[in-house]
Formats: sequence, structure tokens, C-alpha cells
Amino acid sequence: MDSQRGAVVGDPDYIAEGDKVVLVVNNEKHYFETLKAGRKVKLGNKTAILDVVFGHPYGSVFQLSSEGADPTRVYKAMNTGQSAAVTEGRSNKDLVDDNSAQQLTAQDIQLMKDSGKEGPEIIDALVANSSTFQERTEFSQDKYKKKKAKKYCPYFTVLRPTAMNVCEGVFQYAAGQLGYLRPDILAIMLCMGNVAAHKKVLVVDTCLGLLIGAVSEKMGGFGDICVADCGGRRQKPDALKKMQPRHQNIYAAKLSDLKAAQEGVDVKCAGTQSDQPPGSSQGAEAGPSSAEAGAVERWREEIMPDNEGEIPMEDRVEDTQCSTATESDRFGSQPEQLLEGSQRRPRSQQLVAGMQHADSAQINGWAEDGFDSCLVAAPLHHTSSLMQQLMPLLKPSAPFAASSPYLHALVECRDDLLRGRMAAMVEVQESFWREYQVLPERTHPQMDSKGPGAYLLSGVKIIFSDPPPGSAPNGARAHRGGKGGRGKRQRR
Amino acid sequence: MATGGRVIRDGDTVVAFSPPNNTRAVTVDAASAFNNKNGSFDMRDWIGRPFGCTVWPAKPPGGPPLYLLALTPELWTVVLRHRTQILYLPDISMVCGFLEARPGVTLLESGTGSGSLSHALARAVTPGGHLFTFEYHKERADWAREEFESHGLQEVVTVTQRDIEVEGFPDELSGKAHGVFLDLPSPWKVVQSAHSSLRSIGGRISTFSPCMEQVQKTVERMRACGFTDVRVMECLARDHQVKTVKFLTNFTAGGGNWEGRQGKRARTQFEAAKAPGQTEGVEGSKPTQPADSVEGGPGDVDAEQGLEDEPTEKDMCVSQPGWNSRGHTGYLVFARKWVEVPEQGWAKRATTAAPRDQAAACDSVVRRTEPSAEAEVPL
Repeated sequence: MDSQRGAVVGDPDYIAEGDKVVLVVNNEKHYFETLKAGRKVKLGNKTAILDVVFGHPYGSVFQLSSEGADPTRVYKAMNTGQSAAVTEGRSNKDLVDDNSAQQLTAQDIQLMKDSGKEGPEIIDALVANSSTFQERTEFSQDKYKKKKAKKYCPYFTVLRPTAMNVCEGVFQYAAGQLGYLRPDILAIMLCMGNVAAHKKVLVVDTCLGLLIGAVSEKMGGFGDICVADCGGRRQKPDALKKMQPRHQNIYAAKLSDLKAAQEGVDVKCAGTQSDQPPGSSQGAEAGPSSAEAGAVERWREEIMPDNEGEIPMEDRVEDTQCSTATESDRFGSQPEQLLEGSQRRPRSQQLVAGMQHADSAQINGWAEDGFDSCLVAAPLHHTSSLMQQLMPLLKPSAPFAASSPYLHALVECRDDLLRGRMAAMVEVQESFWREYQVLPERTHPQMDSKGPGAYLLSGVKIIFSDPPPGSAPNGARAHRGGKGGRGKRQRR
Repeated sequence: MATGGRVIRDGDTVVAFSPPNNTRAVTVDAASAFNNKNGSFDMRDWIGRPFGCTVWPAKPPGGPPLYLLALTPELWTVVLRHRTQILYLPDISMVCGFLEARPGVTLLESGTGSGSLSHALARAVTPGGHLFTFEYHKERADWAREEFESHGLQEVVTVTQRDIEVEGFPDELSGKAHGVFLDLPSPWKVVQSAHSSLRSIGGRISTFSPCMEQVQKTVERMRACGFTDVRVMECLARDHQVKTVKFLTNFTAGGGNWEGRQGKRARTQFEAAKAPGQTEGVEGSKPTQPADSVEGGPGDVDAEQGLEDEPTEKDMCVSQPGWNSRGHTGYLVFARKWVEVPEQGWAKRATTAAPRDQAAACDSVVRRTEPSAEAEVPL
């Protein structure tokens, strides 16, 4: 049992029923599943019942050989095209791409499948019946076989739904809804925010809950995560649902309550304040519990009873800015992944698993102590205005990070933060991420690009104080708390 | 590591940030002064102030201020003394992310170098985890150990002087690590040793190498040694300079740019036509505006002054990619240890494994002995 010693609390080593998993098909495409005995799962162009994976360790690889059969565990590490030898003289000189090289027809292949032939046999047959296969270079032969293998004997890897895995998978088909929060940006953001166990972290997330889940993973269940409800449309926690957040320390609170508590208003009375903007809390007169309810409400899992198999798209206009038509089409075509079955609970119970209301004692506590860190991924909230609201809630010297698909939003925010002397070391950056194919004699950057990533603003909160009286005021005004680059005026 | 919100005490390490981009780690010593190019700061005044505060120089009076920040791994990367080439933020973030560094895990690192990555890894594995870091250079190992101690990380990090390329990782760590990170001249020499140091389930390896030749050898070795899902990548950050630029909006006033001496007269008229107080320039011209009056845009200024002429310039906050972003740091290689468990006995486990409540499992503080403790694992 040596492998189990040192297992991380809450991170299982073995796959079991009920686990949320990421299934990576052919090392390319991510599928998300909550494992359930007997459930048929669509993986690529095949469907399979995945009961055989129960009890195997995470990271196991399974082969989907023929339709309807159980996947089989792959025990031998797969060869990934190691051939370095190239026979001289072979080239594509005589290759004519008129689809006549393959002698097997689709019907032949279907016949083979029907007669129970496995994927590898079909590939052998394809190779044997290709008139040009032997003229190809070894590299090209490798590539041909790999391509056919993807189609005729796909394999899948069962991984834990870590934030990076989920981010990578969801980014493939809903980058817009993630606010273009690419895995590299997410990783940088978590570092810049100094997210760690035992911290109090303020999170604003309108990106499917990915950031909440990622912060939770980094904190391992220690410390507080306060998910601030900053208004706007109702959130779909599609990414959060795919993860296994340590939910005992995730709390939701309304930004207005946090602000009220900070201004010395006892948060219990916050609901009766007359200066509350209309609509900010539907239970304005009904006391604290319903005022807080709005916060979690916004993160409610929403499953429309009348259009199952289709993701309810908000009819708000802003929605279209972040989710393009193609994305919603693709959402529509992959309903199983998103809805994760047809759990239909009464609306009031459809809260995000584990997200609880912060009580007034907590809100007052946070307001008094301040947060250690703040992370924002809210593309449709005006970044500068939002940060102006959030900064007073942070401890001095607390780092913060905000991502946005729009550079301009962050540029403006940086300018405002520096001019208001609220923060120092405020930087706006973008990240470039590129993968490489490394094979003998065939090393080059991957052909496909990663897609656009969000921009990132980061900085540290400061308390600005005026120079002591008596000192000359001349220099005092001229210094901003930021990296202004070369501060000299440019002259012709 | 010091946290924000605490007050500064004698002996603390603070990060002194002087705009625009001067950053230094300072150990507070009440008896002395901190000097930078902007002036001399009396450190006695710092004590008792909160982290994140502003301090002003004792001389020259009214000189530019200094911000005293609490240390974080990211700031440490900026201020640390470079004893070696160090890893920077994007690479550090990717290693923390793809190595799945999280509370409770055991990580191995070689070499320690200047400790830039080590601080971020130590933060990530706390609490319950541990970072074993190895450095073959004795002085560097000692310096790193001192730094970890002064940052309060001695419980989380163990620094050992050891030539990993020659000796490999110690046998007593065999099968214990969740992740191994290699930043060595010849990482391929250590791949086998790293493989045996990793746990049989969920072990991950990562290497950082500046040259593709190193990567090729390492990747080949990884594939031969039983690693899978090998990914090679690079990640670079590009910073964007933000500045306020005055753009010309009146295309008839002034002018004569190409008209020699005559142009000079026209330019003088143009300058005179400008709104009083408006000065030409790009960044750096902003501060002449008091901070309190920034709500109104430049348009308001003109409106208030009731100028009849159209404004000749318009302020716009714009961004431009920075000049000194890195073009290359190194290639990161990530791979997963192939989960090799003999087939026999597993069918039984699969059937006996009881469904479990995942939520409860996550919250439990009891170490897992899933799926069924009585079944012997044939390893």
C-alpha cells in the first residue's frame, strides 16, 4: 500500500463511482463526466459504458476498441512515434492526392467492424490496402498510422478534474464564457494573487466559476474564499460543477453588504438602508438572510425544465459579447457534458454545491481585517469601477489580479488605480503560450495556436499618505505609485 | 512569510518599492537608514507602520516616497539576489499549475539556484506538504537555507547540498514525491532517478531548459523511462506600458511642420492657441493634474474654462507593448508517470470498490485508504 501513503487529503488515487472526472480522448479533447454505473457516455465518435474504470488509479489509459464493447485498460506505455531512421529516396514526388490510393471502401470497413474486427486490425488492413503507404517516408507512415488510430482505436485517459484540466477542456469549446481565461493566464493569476492556504481571498468570478474552483484547489480547504456578488446576470457555474472544490470554506456575500460592513454599518441592518440601489437585493426589507440569499442565488444552477438538452442562454444583450454563436451551437451539441444528467431539484435547492451564505459575523470580520488577496475575472463588469470598490476591502500590501479579454478595460483601470494612489506595481501584461512537438528530427512548434488569452492586471494595494508637514511639496505630487516606464518627457 | 495587514517590526524583511520601477528587499534595522537614489529614509520611522504604507525621505525633504510592501514569492522573484539564472513569473506559474502543486504534496526540486521557484512551490504545498530542494553548490545551498529560514519556510523546505546529476535523488525519497522539477544542465541524466522518486500514482515531472537540444534528449529519455503525455511548451509574458498621450485634434491650427523657419512662427501661434495649463508630452505629464480632479475628463477642463476655440489636443489613455519583454526564457517539459500496476487483482478491486460520497471524501481530514483496504496491492 505504499502508493497510498502520503496521499493528499481529499485527492483520491483511485477512480470510484460518483467521481467527477476529466476524460481526455486521444490526448486532445476533454470530456467531463460524473461517473455513474451503467451510464452510456459519448466519447468522440464512440459511446461506451465506463464501469470498467472504477477501482483503477487516476491517470490510467483505456482503449475504446470496438463499438459497444467495454473499454480496456492499456498497461504498456504507448509508443509515440520514435522512429528516427529515414530511408533515402522516399518522398511525396509520385503521390497523387486523388483519393484513389486506398483500395478499401467505407462499406468494406463497415463490414470489418460488423464482423467484430478490432481497431488495430482495421488499421493494418488500411495500411495493406493503401497503394502509396510503402512509398511514404517513415515519418509520414507514422503520421498516417497515428491519424488512423485516432479514428479506429481511440484511447482515453481518466484524470482528476484539477483546475488546469478543467480550464483547458472548457477553453476548447467555451473560451468566451471563460472570459478567455486560458490555463496559463489562470496559473499566472493565482500566483500574482498570492493565493495560498490560510488566506482570506476575495473572488469576483463571472466566468463559469472556474476561478472559484481554482482558488479553492490552491487553498486546499484552509482559509476563507469570499465570492463577491457584484450584480449582473445570473451565473452558470458550469466549470465549477466539473471540479471538486473544497467547499467548506467558500462563502458568497453581496458586495453591497461587504461595503456596508466596511463603512461601519452593521451588516444586519444593511437590508434596511434606504440608499440601497433598487434591485440590488430583492429582499431589502426582509432582513439579512434574504439579502444574503441574492448572492448565492446568482450562482444558482439553472436547469430549465422545458428545454432539456439545451443550455439556457440568457437573453441579456451583453451575453452575446462573450459567447459567440458558434460556442452556443457547440454547447447545444454537447448537452450531456454541460447538464451532467437531468438532476431536477426544486429551484430553491439548486444552489452551487457547497457555496454558502456568509453570515453577518463573517462579513463584519472580513470588513474589519480586510482580505489578503483579490482575484477578479468579470469581463462585463467595468474593471476600473469594480476595482475602485474592491480596493478598500483589501488589507494594505495585499496583492490583487484582474483578468479581462479587453486590454482597454485594464489599461483604464491601471491609470485610475495609480492616479488614485491606491496601488503600486500595477502592471498590465499578456501571456504568450506555445507548445512544441518534440520528436527525433521532427521538432517544431505545434501547428495549432492556443487561441486568444485574456490580459492580466496585477498590483499591490498601498496606503498613500502625504509627506510630513514642513517638507517641500514640489516632488510630492509628481510621483505616482507605479511603473511608469521611462518617466522622462520625450522631446524631439 | 510576512502577511499584509501586520505592522512592520525591527528585523522584518520588507520590499521597498520606489516608483517607477526600483524594488529592493530591505531588512529593517531601526538603528540605520535606507538610502536610494531618491534620498535617505530613517528606518526607525518604519517600525509600527503597516505593510503597504508610504514613507517619505528624511532628506531631501519632499523627495519621492517609498512604499513598504510585504514579501510574497512574486516580489521575492523581483528582488532576490541573482546567484544564478532564475525562473520568472510565467514559468513559475506554469510549473505550479501543471505539476499540480497543492497543499499536502511532496515535491522535489533541483537545483535550488537562487530560490525563485522554491518560494512559490513552498507556498503551494503548505500546509502538510514538503519541498525537498537540492543544490550542488555549497554556498548557494547555504544562502538559500538562510533565506528560507528568514522567510519562515524552514518547516516546509529542506535544502540539501547534493549533485543530483551524479548521485540522483536520495533513496529514502523513493516513491514519495508527487512532483519533480529539474532545472539542471543535463536533466536527461536524472530522468530515471526522478521516475523512481515519484509515487506510482499521479507522479509528475517537469524540466526547464533553455536549449532545444537539452529538451530533445530529455524528452527521449522520458519516453524511454516510462513517462507519458509529454508536453513541451514555452510561456512568456509581455508587459504593456500604459500612458496618457495627447493627440492632436485640431488639424488647422498651428501646422507648417515642413515649412522651415516659417513653421517656427506658426508653431508659436499654435502653442499660444493651446488651453492654458496644457502641456505637450506623453507619459509623465499626467501628475501635473492634482489627483483629486481626475474624475472629469480633459473635455471638462476645456468646457469649464469656456474656451471658444476647439481644443487642439485630446488626452487618451493608451497602452503599448513594453520594450524589454523577454523573447525566450526556456522550454518547459511536463510529463506524467505512466501508471503501471499489474493486471491481476484489479478486476476484483473494481467490483468491490464502493461508491463514495465525493463531497464527504473531500472534506474528510482522514487520509484515504481507498478503495478497499483489505485488498493487497501487488506492487
